[in-house]
Amino acid sequence: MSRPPAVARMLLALRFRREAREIIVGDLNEEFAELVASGVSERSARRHYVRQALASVFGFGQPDLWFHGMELDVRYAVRTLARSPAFVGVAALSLGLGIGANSAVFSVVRSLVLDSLPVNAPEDLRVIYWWQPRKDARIPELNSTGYADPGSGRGFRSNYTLSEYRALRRTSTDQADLFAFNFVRQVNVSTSGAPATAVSGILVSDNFFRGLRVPMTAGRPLDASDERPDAPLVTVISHALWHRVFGGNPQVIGQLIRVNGQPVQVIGVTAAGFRGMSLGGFFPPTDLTFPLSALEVAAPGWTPGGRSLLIDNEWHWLRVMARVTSRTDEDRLAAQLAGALGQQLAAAGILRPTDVPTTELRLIDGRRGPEPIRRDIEQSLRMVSGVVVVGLLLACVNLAGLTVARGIARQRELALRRALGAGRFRLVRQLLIESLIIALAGGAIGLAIAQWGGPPLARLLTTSQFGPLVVDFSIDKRLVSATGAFCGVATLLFGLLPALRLSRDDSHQLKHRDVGNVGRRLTAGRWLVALQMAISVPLVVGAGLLLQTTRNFGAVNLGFNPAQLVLFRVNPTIGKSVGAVQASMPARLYQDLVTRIEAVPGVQSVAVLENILAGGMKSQTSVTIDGTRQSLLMNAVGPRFFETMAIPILAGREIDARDTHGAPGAVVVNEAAARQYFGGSALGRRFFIGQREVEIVGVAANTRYQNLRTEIMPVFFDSYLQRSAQPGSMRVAVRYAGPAGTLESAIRRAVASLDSALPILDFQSQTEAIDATIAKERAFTRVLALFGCLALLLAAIGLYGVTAQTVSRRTNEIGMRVALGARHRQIVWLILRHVIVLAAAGLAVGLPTAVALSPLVQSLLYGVESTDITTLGVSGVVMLTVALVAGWLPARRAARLDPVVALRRE
Amino acid sequence: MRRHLGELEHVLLLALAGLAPGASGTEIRRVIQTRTGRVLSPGAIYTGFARLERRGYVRSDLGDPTPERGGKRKRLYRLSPAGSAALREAQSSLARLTSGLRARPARRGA
Repeated sequence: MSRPPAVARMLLALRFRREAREIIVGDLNEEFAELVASGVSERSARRHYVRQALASVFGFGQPDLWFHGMELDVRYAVRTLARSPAFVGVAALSLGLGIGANSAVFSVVRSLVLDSLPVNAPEDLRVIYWWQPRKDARIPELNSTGYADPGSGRGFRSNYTLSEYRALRRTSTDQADLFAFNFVRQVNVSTSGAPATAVSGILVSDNFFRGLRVPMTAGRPLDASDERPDAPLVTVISHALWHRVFGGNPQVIGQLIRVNGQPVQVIGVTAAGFRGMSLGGFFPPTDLTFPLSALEVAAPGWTPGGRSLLIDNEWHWLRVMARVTSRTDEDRLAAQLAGALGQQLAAAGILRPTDVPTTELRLIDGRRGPEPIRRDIEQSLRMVSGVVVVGLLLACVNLAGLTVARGIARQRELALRRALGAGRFRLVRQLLIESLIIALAGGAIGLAIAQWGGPPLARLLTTSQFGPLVVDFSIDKRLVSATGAFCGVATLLFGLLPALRLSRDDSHQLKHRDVGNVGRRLTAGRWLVALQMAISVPLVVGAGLLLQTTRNFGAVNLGFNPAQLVLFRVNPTIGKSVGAVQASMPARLYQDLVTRIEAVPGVQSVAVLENILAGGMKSQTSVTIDGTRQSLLMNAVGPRFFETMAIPILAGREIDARDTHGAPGAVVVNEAAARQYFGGSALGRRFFIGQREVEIVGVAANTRYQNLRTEIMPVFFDSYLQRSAQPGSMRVAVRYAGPAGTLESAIRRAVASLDSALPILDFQSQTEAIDATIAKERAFTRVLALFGCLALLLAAIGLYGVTAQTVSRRTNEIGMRVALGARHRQIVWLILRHVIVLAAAGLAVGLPTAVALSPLVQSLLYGVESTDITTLGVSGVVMLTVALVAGWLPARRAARLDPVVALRRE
Repeated sequence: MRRHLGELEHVLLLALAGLAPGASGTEIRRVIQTRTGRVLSPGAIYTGFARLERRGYVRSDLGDPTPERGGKRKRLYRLSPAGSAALREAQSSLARLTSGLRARPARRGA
């Protein structure tokens, strides 16, 4: 059946309360049905419907309505605005920038905070959280994140063992569908002909797809048949992987791919929007979904204590979620589940039998999956939201100034309308409608800007070592309504004050073009300019502080040479690469790898290392020096590490090829460790790493370790070849001469020639690795610098405009003064005086505001205090200079006035 | 205080008087449209009657929802005694004004 247009109903909601709306919509519906039944085309019936709804809202013949004559006002506003396209263009563009920035940030918020999982009926999903009975109660070690309730301090988590999950599921079969899963960060995938890549996976219980209700693009979801012991290994792939690796070919269903070296059959492709369970950014988007029975293939390393997690009763590795129905009594369900869990915990010896009744489970809203948003991203979002809101505010204040200035030119028109009987309400409404039209134009521009500028913004905000997040920038109802709300707020902010001022009842203005009056009206514009200055100050100061931070980061003495250095990571423990096949001999693999890469033309030296220096990671271990236990930073490295990193050896030698398994333990310490623990003469001294005795064979110069912020700390470097355990995932550092050009592909070829199933991970230069650790600071420096410059520019334009108006208003007077012998300097001062007052007023408000807001950026700063006097001073001077230049231009013009011409004017 | 009927109110009451009690907004709209050619929006009808009802000239009830109204109820109007009196008064004052006027040929272009 044909349906009447919904937009008309929304329109009616603008003006009518519920009961009235029901009657009117009913009337319209009835007519619509009649029209359609009488053979009128649906399109014209719809048009009739909308027109009648519009007439009902804005119509004539209803003299006591607020909306009376609105149509005329709108038409008049459009005509008026069409006469000044330059004003409208500038206004809509500056507003569009402000609104666009806000809309872009809203898109990020929508994706990361507001969106539900793209599944059917996400509101019926629950995460099953297990609450710590008391704040200090012991709960067993879990291999995954736990959260603390900010109110009570009690911990809660959604991790369970497989047997606990099974018990919970058995208890709840009649009330809810409980499904379990866990993320696998890296899975090695290769297809015939293509090089190996690392993707992320998820292991799920047989009812995962049924419980979550994930839509599928092709093939079938996983089900109970895939859990049978004799079932073949299968996987469901993501829409993204399907396009990335298989080019969207539907023939992929049934195809075999190699997952960690094992053949696995692809049985289905999930729908395009589904990117896994982690919307908050803790895990990368999921590409492969496996049944739990594929645990050993998908996550071969997950054998704590040598036992499979499928039979283990200690590792709480599975997240459990439930789909409830409207009939589920959730309190009862939670109590039953708590009882079942308590028994399991007691049986496993984790809980004393007496504590079983204290077990508490809660069913928490699971529409966003199991994880809250990552805290660092949330913090970034807050700050950027603040900056863009200030940006919009600035655009509004600037526009308010323009509108006031424009209103002065329109005084006669307004006075005329008043004289003809227009009430103040009508005038205010008229002016507000004009503002709203500009704001809506700005909103349209803003939506376009959000589409275009959103993705780089999202990258800036969400970059970190976890990898970037996927943010959706599509235009939907929520984005449009949010943008509409920004427009509405902007209209009131920049339109209301000028409208109220300009509509004041001064009917005599039609007769006298009173100069004094114009002057008074200008005051409003002036104070708006001062306000603009005040709002700009915190942005400029923030940008200054962050620019200094960036400079300070650049000036940090690293202790090694980051130029001409690239790094990558390999992980031979995932998949059947050579290292894993050769009876766990990755050490051999790394040695072969180094040899191959050393042969690449342009390569000077190659070394294996555990943690990138200043790359965000560190390792720490407990050592015994002279019988005292110490906790010391450490880094496992291979031969030629110090040479490759260009770290000077101050005494002794560096780790080299002789320091292998079985050879006497050798370590290099840095200068700080030598001084702090060995009184400066460290060479030849011995200490214990656990049970292993090592001798200090060299002392190296100090370097930064974890990141640029942490001070120099004592560190020792031991040989990765001497570790008792085989190395897992290690980094390889390559120092090269000449241009980087084809280096990466040459290195990739060298690695592939050794082992084509070994994916290269995180290929980056040393500089990029360092930059990644200060990505947030750099992002904010750019955002604040951009908005700071914009703010300065707007303030300068505002000041220029106001001053130019003052000059043109006082042309006569200035002419008189010049004729009476005033000097050039005196005239400039006459005008500039006001500019200085305005700028000083702006600074007087802005600088304390900047100081008050400074704690917000404190955590981003390095080497500079948030209340740094120099920065505040320099910002003030910069703003004052900009103000003086903006004011000086019209002042100079005033001083050059020809008195004869000036006096003749009016 | 007695107030004279406004023009729209007058038209609405006249249309209502010509219909059986319990006329719906749609019926009233249609009568006005067919007899005067004037198209009033449903909003105007509703607001007009709401005002008349406040002044006691009109009573109304809610009708039952019907499928062709998309499950919405309608409001059914009837004239109150006060409304009849006001309408009679308005009509006779108009009649007093118009009595004795001769129909003049309309001037074009006025």
